[in-house]
Order: sequence, then C-alpha cells, then structure tokens
Amino acid sequence: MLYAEDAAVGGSAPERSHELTRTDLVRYAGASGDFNPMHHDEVKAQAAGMPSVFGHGMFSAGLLASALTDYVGEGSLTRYAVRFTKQAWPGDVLQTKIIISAVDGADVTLTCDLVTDKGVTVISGEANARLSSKASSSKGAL
Amino acid sequence: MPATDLIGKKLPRATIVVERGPVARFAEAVLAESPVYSSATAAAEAGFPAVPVPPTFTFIAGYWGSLAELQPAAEPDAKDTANLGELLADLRKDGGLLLHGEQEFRYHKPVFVGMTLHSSGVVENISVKEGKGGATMTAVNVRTDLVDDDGEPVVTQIMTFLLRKTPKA
Repeated sequence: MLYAEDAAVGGSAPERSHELTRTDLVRYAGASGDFNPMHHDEVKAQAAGMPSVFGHGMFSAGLLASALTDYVGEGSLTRYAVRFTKQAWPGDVLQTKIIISAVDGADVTLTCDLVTDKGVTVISGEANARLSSKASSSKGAL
Repeated sequence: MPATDLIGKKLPRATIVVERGPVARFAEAVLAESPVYSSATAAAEAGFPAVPVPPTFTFIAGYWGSLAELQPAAEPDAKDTANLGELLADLRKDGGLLLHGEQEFRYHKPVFVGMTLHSSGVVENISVKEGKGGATMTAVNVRTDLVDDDGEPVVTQIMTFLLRKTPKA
C-alpha cells in the first residue's frame, strides 16, 4: 500500500489484468441487480445487433476501483470519476493503468484507465485519495 | 416536452441499510481481493471500526438495502418525483441511443456495514448539443446524495446519461 511519504508524480500502481468472462457478467448482474439482458442474454444481445453480451460499465468501474484501493488503501479515496468510452467484450483482457498525476501533501490525484489487450480504452478516469502516513495510520476518519 | 423540462425532477427518497452479505458478494463480483470486505477480523486488524465497502458499492446499495418497512412515506409533491427508470423511459420515448456515459463518486465519510444511508436525488442539469444533419446529443446529470442518520453527507454520486439521436433518413 502507498503511504503519503512515498507518493510521487509518475508513480504507478501494480497493473491488474483480468480476462472478462460471461460468468463475471452474471455474477455482477446478481450482485448489483442490473439485469439488463444485453449483459447476460446472448440471444437478446445478438437480436439487438451486438456480436455478443458485453460488460456492465459499472463492472469495469468496480474492477478499476479494486486496483485503486489495493494501491492507495481501502477508505482512502475522496473522489472517483469515470467516463465509459467503449464496451468490454468477453475474452477481452482488461488491464488497469493507474498513475499519480499530482501530489499535494497527503492528497494525491491519479489518472486511472482500463484498457484491453487490443489497446481499446474501456474506461478513462480520475481519482483523488488522501493517503495514510507511515507515522500515524488512521482509518475511518476521512 | 423538451428534455430540459426534466431539470429539477426529484428521485424518490430511500432509506438503505448496509449489510455484510451483500458487501462481501459485491466485493467478490468486482474482483476486490482485500479480505477486509468479507472478514470482520481482517477489517478490525486493518484498523476499521467495522467492515468497509468497495468504492462503487453505494451505486447499487439500494438494490439490497431498501427494506420495505424502512421506506419514507411518498412525497407530498409526487408529480415532481420520478424514479430513475421512469426518467430514462421519458428521455428515450422519442427514440435514440441512451448510454451511461460518466459516473462520479465524491466520498465525504467512509461507509461501513451497519450504517443506514438516506438517499435523495435530483436531475441537476440537462444540456442538448446540436450536431451535423440534425443529430443531437443530450447529456443528463442526475445527482444522488447519501447522508447518514445525523444528516451528515456520506457520498455524492453523479450519473451522466448520454442520449444520442440521429434523424431518420
């Protein structure tokens, strides 16, 4: 986990990589209550002109957020904003790209993107976090 | 009715409890690997007063936690209120492709299992841009405020929907 003392512009989070499966989509549908058939019903998705079912934008946003909190620590985010740029398809390998773009004391700004192995940007985002200090690690008080 | 007439329309208020099971299963669904979301012991060892929630959990918290007997009475001014599904159906009624374009979370206070959240929402802004050949792009911002039992802000969520319309040839 990143501490305030170690944060520097250009610093990056370990990349996470995940091959999207239809099971991921069904699990996210059940966990989120988003039962739009475009995300789980191949027959309906193809009838609507899609090559297959595709990922929920908020699944991708959740996966990217998981990589973010692994880096800055759970409970450290003060803001998280994403733009859904392209769909993610089963078989795509989703890769997280998280880089520190600004540091102001313990407050950092990060650019965070989710990109496929084919080079398609699925999410383009930005986050702010207030990092814990090595000296005093306080949680639950933002 | 122009789409901009929906500005100021309110979402129904909701009372939402945050429970352990949904948090653990949601964390699993977004591939959050930290044990703090599923183990009270791990959460305590990490210094949290209770099990925390993943950053995007509040987006769907109402699906699990809007227990029927906790819900506030219907708004007195019901005609100014519409649920999200009704709003989106209204926007889409003349056709066009509706997408969830952007999503923002502003975190004011951490959310833990055991908390009760009170949700209110409003259509904050709608802007229509004219494109080539009569095409239009309508951006709709819906803001949801979640507060705790003391009315203190917890999370602000801003959804942006994009409605793309191209005139029929």
